[in-house]
Amino acid sequence: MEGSMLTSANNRQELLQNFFCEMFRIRVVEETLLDLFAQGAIGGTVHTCLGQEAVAVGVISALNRDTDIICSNHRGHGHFLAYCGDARGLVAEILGLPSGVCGGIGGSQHLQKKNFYSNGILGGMAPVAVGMAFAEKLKGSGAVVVQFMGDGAMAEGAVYEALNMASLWGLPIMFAVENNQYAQSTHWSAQHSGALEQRSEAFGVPVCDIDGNDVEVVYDTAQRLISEIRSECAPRLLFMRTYRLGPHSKGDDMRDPEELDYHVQREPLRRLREKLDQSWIKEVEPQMRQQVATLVADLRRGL
Amino acid sequence: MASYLTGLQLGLAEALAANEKVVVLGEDLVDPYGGAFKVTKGLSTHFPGRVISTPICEGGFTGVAVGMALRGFRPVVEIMFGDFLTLCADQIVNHMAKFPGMFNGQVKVPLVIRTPMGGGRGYGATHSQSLEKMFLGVPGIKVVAPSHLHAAGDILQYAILVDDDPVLFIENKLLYPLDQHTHVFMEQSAEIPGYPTVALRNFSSGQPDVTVISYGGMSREIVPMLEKLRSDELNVTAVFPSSLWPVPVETLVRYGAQCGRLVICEEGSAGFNWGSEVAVLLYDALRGNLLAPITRLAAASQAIPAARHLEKEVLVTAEKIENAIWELMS
Amino acid sequence: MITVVRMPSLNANEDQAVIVNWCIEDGAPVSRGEEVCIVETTKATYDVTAESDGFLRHLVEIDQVVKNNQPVAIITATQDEDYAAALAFLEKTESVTTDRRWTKKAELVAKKLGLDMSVLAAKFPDRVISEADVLASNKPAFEGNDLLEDAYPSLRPLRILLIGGGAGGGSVTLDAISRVQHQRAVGILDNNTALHGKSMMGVPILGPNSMAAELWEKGVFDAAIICITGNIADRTAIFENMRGKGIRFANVIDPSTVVKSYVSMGEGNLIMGNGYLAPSCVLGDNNFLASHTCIEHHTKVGSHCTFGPRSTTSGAVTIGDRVKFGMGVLVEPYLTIGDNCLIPSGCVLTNNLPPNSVVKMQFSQTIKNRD
Repeated sequence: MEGSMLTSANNRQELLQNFFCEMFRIRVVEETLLDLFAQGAIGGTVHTCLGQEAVAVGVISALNRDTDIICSNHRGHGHFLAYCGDARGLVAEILGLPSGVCGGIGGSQHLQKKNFYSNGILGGMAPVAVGMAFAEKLKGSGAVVVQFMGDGAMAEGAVYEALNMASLWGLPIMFAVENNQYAQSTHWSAQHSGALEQRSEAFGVPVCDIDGNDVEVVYDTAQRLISEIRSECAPRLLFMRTYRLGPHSKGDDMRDPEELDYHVQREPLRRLREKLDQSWIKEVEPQMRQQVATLVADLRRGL
Repeated sequence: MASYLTGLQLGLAEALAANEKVVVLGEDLVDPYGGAFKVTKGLSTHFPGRVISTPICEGGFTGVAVGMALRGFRPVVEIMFGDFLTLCADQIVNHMAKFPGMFNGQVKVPLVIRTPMGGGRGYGATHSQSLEKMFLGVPGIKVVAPSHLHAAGDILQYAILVDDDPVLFIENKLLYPLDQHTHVFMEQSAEIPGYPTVALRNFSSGQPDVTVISYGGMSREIVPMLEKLRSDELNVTAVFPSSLWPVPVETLVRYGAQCGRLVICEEGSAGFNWGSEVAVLLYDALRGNLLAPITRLAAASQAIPAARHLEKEVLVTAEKIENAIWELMS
Repeated sequence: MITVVRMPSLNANEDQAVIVNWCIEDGAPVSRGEEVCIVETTKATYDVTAESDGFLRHLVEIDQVVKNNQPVAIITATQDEDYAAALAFLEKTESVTTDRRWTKKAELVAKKLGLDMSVLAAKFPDRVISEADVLASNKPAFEGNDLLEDAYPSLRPLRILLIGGGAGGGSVTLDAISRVQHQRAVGILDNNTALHGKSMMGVPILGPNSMAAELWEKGVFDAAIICITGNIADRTAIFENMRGKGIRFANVIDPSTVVKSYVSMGEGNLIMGNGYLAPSCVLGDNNFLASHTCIEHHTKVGSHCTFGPRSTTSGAVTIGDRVKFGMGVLVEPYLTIGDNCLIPSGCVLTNNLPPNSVVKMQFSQTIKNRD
């Protein structure tokens, strides 16, 4: 199914348009959540994935959304929207409304819908995801589990226990590492020794190290790895280099503006826009903004 | 008559036979070794592929079991020594216990974590503790610890096959060889379905002088002590809940109200422990009906020594319980 | 050198045996392994053998009952060994190995009562002193020395004296009292002199009913209850007489009987198990309600009535004094039953009864032929 999309140039263009819509929706929802937070409409905290939309959309578009399983983390709005597109359920959840995907109990970091699960403990979901892969292997369902984690989680011991078991037992799981370069406020180079991207190879888990801000590259690579996982019933690790444009949560950004500016030039939506018809974009963007604005307004009016 | 150990072996075997979604994970479980305390002995031979020896990563394979439970399995995890539960604390508290409630009841985690606790074997400070108190009161889980007066295998089977909540199932090393104790002066109440409270008395009629409330491995100390106290004409009822959390409050209050003199004892260390919580619940319920303040016994608050004679000084023994009882009477 | 020959444990069910015969005379030489005596349990006879060579000295006589492990003889190395010294040796070793002389509970109770256990132990040399021995030897307990009162004055249960309690009525009353914490039976009076000095369920039978006034003066009980259930005339006379002397009566109610809201009653009522007192019913004084008696709402019962088991009144019935109900009587609502009536077992009352009525029970009547 996905393969046929790649065969013709027309279909390719259509695919990129779809990617753009999904990525742009994530961007708008995240910006809206930051606005709502600023207005005091949201309690707790909001971890946004601004600048990492290509990872979410590229990886999850390579999956079978009916049967495959996503394990996500504290920065999981993008993964959630790329998986099921339920912006209304997500925003309602974060606003604490009963119509939220978890009735308002879960909140931003604890989302669950169909085969999507997220939790707020860094690295904690890695062994859980391995268990899900084990379950699917025993059932013979053919489903693949994708475990999203950041460079920060790569410092957690649980991740290495998970990599070990996934490889030892030959489980259908893809570890999707988003190196967004920052763990809260600390640059990844200040908390990791050696080559982060090579670690899983010691467990016999092959790695692809790619540019995570190019959705086409992410999608193509993820698709290849997922098909290898399905055919070989063995884990893979996809290492994606990206950049967190937003703060860790809110009001905790200490980074150099020059550094930020450098990455703004290379952020995934800007790069995807260059590949698309500008007039189509001019038409689509306001429509999508309006959709999200309407949705939020409805929710806040109790509709 | 089956021992505590064979009861658990049978309970596990029957659970594996009854539901193909039951799998067992833990360190060194596979035959011929069959687990450090032999609870899984023979099971990997009878149920190939469903009893899995894991790497030594308690947190990791507990997480694996949580994942399997979320995807339709009913896994049983063995943690070789209860002391190692600290290694799985994150999976227990922030994953296993959280998912059903945090996801608004949309998922279930029917998972049982079995582990032996307790000292008395000279294993020293990191292999002799009773750490269950660290998990008591955590919302979303049950903590169960059968004594040798319970049908431990039946309780285990209920936890695996029937209970959809995650259960921490505490066994006791010194109970493994003991036969299940039965007696005509024994009664059972099921305030918490599947996890009965057993009461044993050492007198045929009348009221108890003292009621002892305890659980798990303490039954090994208390049951022979009841015989001794019978020869001294002291009427004692010993109550052993199998469910530590939630606490079967009504049942304990009912027994507490029978005499107004209560001793609560446990093998774990003193300070913010099970006995403290039970005592407060009983104080709240019994108020003026107590004849004396409740006596609580627990291990001394220190590392458990390896040397047997020093270990005895730290842990709660029948002698210490008996002394406390006479103290309460006088 | 002295060796002790002890009674062996012969089987698991018995802790004693009888010496049937000595095989070796007192003072005669004995060899290791030789039969010393024959003992008999309820199941079989056994030989007891010597464990060393020497001269045998008997410590017990033929037909004497000997406890397991108790010394039956000693063997001295030489014939002229000092027998007295040998016995002294034995006494010394036995004082170490002997069983305890009293239970800890007995010791505890004695301490609270200020009794010396060694005095008691000397009084009963042949057995382990029990709590009951201590309590029995503490006769002054009935002169106001109250164990529970001393220990827990705020929780002292009401001390109840049972009148006419030597027979069946006494045992059901004791049982009902034993099931509650707020009452405690301290003694029983009964006119049957054969019972005096004995006890029932651990409660002493002190003397005749007439002793009540004396005991009341001494303050050893807080309230009385009359246990006579059959004879209404006696029940009434004792009650009136004792109340005239200022004696108070308790209501003894088995806790399995349900007492609903707004039930009011006088005193001296004895109510057995599994009964039901409906809301707003009223009982006078000194009534006896056997098990399963049901008094429905707004029913008024006078005084000195007795109800056989399973009698039931419906709502708003009015009952006079000294009415005797047999077993399983049913009373329709709103009826009035006068004083001194007698109603037989199984009767269904459908109309009012004037005082002094004696009701006849009508058994099966044929009302129609099916053909």
